[in-house]
Amino acid sequence: MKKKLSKANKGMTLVELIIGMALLGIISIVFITVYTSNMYMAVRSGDMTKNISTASSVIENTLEGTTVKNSTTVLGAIEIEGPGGTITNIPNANYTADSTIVLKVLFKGSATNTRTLTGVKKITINTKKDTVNSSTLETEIEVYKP
Amino acid sequence: MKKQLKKQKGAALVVVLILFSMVFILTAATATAVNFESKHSIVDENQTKAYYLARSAVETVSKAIGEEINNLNAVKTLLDNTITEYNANLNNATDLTTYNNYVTALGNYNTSLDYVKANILPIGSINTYEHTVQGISNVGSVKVKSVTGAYRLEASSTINGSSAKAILNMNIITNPTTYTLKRHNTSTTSTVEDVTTTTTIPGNSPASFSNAFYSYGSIDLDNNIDLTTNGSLTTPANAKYRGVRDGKMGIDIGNVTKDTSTDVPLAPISLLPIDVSVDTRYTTMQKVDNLPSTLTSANNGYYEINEIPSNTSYTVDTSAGDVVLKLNRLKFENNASFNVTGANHFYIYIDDNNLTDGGLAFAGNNDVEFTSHDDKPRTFIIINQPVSDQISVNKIEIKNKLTLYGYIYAPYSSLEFKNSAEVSGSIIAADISAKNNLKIKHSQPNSGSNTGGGGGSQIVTTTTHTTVSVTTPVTTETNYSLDVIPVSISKNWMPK
Repeated sequence: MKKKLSKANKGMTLVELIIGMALLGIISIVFITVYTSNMYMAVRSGDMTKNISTASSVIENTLEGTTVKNSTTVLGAIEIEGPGGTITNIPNANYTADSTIVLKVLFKGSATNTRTLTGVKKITINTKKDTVNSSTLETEIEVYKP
Repeated sequence: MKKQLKKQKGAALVVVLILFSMVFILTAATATAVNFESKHSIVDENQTKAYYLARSAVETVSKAIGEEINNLNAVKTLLDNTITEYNANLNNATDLTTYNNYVTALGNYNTSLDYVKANILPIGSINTYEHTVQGISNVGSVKVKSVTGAYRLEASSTINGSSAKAILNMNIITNPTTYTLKRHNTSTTSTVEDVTTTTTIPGNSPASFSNAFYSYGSIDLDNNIDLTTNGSLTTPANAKYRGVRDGKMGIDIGNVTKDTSTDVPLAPISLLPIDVSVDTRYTTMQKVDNLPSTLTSANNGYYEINEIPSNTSYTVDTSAGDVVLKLNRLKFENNASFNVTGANHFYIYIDDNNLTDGGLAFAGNNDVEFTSHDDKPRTFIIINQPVSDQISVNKIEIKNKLTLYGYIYAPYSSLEFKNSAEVSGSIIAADISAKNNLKIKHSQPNSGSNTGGGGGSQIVTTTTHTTVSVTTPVTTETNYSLDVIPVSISKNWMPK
């Protein structure tokens, strides 16, 4: 009877199972950590792209002459005047414009043939996106509007 | 136990390793993709920042160019206004003023256009200008290229190693225009023409040669003085003087009487058939060694000649018209003769030469003849000495023999015949002295071109080469092509 039992036992031993489980656990911890990190980076990357896209959109509207300003009703948002006077609110964005900038064009690089442009607007768009772990990603783009 | 273990064919480790490998590969791939995406996002952000800085520089240069062109258009507007004003005032008193404004405005426009071409926009064959912008960092120069149908403005910027370029196509539509500048003016053309005038010398004027001789001053007559009328050797002719008569008080033939007239002598130049004071042929004195042996009206002119050489004969051909020579002086050596042919006259006009020989001098014991082919008086010797000169120093001494078929008019010169003189015509001088053998066969010229006796007034016909200026109105038109007159500017941004 003993011989038959011992001969018929062809499955994993307890030791094998324990070792296997242990290895799988270790590997899983490493992989989960890396995977989580990747996910975080992917989300951050996506947020960055959204920030750039938002800022670019606001700047293009500004350069086209559309009215762009910080929202007076929604804190931390930019208002863009759309067709027909409707207002689009872009959250988590800040608009600043410095109208005192003076730029000087030196034609052919010559200091004698110049034209000075005053009242140039320096426009700065700051967009924010909350990413995972409550960290904030900011993107700031500057443009001059002579 | 060991034997049993050896017999075991467990697969747990293999399975774990395979699973491990698969998960590892998937994880690594995911990590790589995420890492790439993350870096790309950063690059994208930097590129976006760089693009808008580059675009700012391009926009700034574009605006500056636009302002320069606006300036050009402002100058163009001034030009247009001036043209309108000029056209409205054409032919008016303000014509010249508005014309000058027009030219000035046109000049200003061309200057401004040249400035734009040379410094702002590479118009024409010039390919690229590089303008720089002060005040925007991290941006290079803005290149302005002339491309087909447009100007391309481009600039690059680099932020944290990521570069971006902004390109703007700037279409400047121009309207090449040609301006026609009309100017009403006058044109003066000068031609030399013969102008004929006539002067009448009254019969009571000595200059009409109505006497055998006439002395404005004194006379001194000695032996063998015959004054007869032309054509008769026995009919006495009249002669007059104003001053003192000296010498032998009687003459062989002739009626010499004192004239109480105080009229001033007629200007010698007025007896000439050509007004040498304005005639272009007498403007410049030509220095010559001798006169041509045959003189015609083609030789009319003003000559400086030292003296007439000895034994020289001249033929004065007047068939083509009067021969009129203006000389600084006329000095003879021995034996010279002038024989006048043709139907007209030979005039020798001696202008003041500031010498004391009276302008007419005879150096030796000579025999000087002024004859004519038909024995009619055809020679006029007219001497002009200024009144201010002393008559005594303007003394003309005819030393030996003079034969003259013609006239002497020297109202300011003293004339002395020392020996023999035969004159067929008349003599007028300030003083006249004749020692021996003065025979005058009086003959009065009828007019400037005819001869013959008779009294009365004389008509002097004067034909003068004169520069005649004719002024005609002229309208001049000048075309100015202005190749670049900006009409409109449009901009198109090229994609990022």
